[in-house]
Amino acid sequence: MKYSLAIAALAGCAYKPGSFAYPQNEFPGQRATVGCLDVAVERRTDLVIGPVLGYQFANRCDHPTTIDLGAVSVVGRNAGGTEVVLRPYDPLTELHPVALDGRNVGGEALAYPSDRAISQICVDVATLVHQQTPKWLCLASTAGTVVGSVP
Amino acid sequence: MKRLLVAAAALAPVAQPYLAAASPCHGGSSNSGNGGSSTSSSGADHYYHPGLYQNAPVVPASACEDASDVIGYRRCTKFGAWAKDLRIPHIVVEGGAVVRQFGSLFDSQTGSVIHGNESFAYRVLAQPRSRPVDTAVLSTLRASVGLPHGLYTAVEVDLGGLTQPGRATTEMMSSGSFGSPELQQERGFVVDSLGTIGVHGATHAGGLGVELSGGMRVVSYSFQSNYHACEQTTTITAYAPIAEARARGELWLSPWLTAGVTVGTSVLEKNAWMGGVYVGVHTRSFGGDR
Repeated sequence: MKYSLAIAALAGCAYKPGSFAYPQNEFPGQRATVGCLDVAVERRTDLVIGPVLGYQFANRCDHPTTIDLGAVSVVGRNAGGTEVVLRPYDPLTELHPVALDGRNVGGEALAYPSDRAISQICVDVATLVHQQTPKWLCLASTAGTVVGSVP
Repeated sequence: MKRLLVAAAALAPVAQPYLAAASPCHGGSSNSGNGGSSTSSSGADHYYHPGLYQNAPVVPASACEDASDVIGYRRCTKFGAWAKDLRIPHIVVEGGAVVRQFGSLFDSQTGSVIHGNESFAYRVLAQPRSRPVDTAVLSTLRASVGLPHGLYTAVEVDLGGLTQPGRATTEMMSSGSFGSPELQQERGFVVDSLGTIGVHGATHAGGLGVELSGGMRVVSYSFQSNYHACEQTTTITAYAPIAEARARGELWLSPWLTAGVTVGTSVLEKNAWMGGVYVGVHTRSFGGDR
């Protein structure tokens, strides 16, 4: 019986497209589908240097797909409506395009340094997979927003 | 079947090695800010001391824990731990069971058996007018690596027992104080070591493959020797080359798991064949074929 359960666990461990659900992985925040990816973006409590976005993604396809978190277009808006382009905090230059295997999931959290308080942050998740047609998700600030400065 | 299930369960962690939550701690040289980890570690050091001037016990570096999972603030897990390095070829680890039938290797082999301080030589002969065949059931473990253009190569080890050895007669070549021992044929065991090259074709549901395998077979035939109320087990070990043509078919049970069947025939001898079932764990979803 226990061997049958082990087989069943192996057989059932693939991501089901469109489900935004996977064992031990949550998909909080706003959700979108771009190319082979189901993506969820969550705005977390800001760090001192700026807002933080949590990305959770899953590959809907059976083949690997490339994810480029460093290329994601992110725009912040302050309370006055001024827009500023945000770049991810990557002091060790770790960010690079990586492949996510078919029917698999992954997730990362990125901070976006800003010298002013960002009340709203918008993400073009289509740029995650270098897709031409933009798909913007906008997220308001959380209660923990902190005014910071560029490190 | 039980053996097959056990093998599959044992191989389960191989299916998604890249889903492991944390890679070994390759720490930076300094803490980078407020959100950073409070744990100091080094890729070269396997241990750290929590207190520089305290006589604290040495704590293994595997206890590395990040206070934050934000890139730039964490040290224990590299960026993209969930990612797949496509430069690494597709690897499949398979476990299963096979039944083999092949010509007995014991004919004209000689051996010896010792009873007390007496040693006896004997010879094993096949039944006249027919070449006996052995039937064996073996557990198989195989690892294969994908190559370009649908080719693959594999190494395989099969280990099992002779369930039905070919009938042999024995002939004692020496005698002792109480005459000669009586030898009674028993079973034995088989070890096959094989290298394989093949070509693979994919369908949506699974895959088909044809391959050539070659290697070495070692068969140990057991005999029970009875001599003046003394019982001993003696073995004769024989070696033979293997060359087989095989066909395989498999179905996807999940993106990383297949179940399949294989059949083959020897290209060196008649009436030698094999058939088996297996479960395979793949490092790439659907073998990278879709």
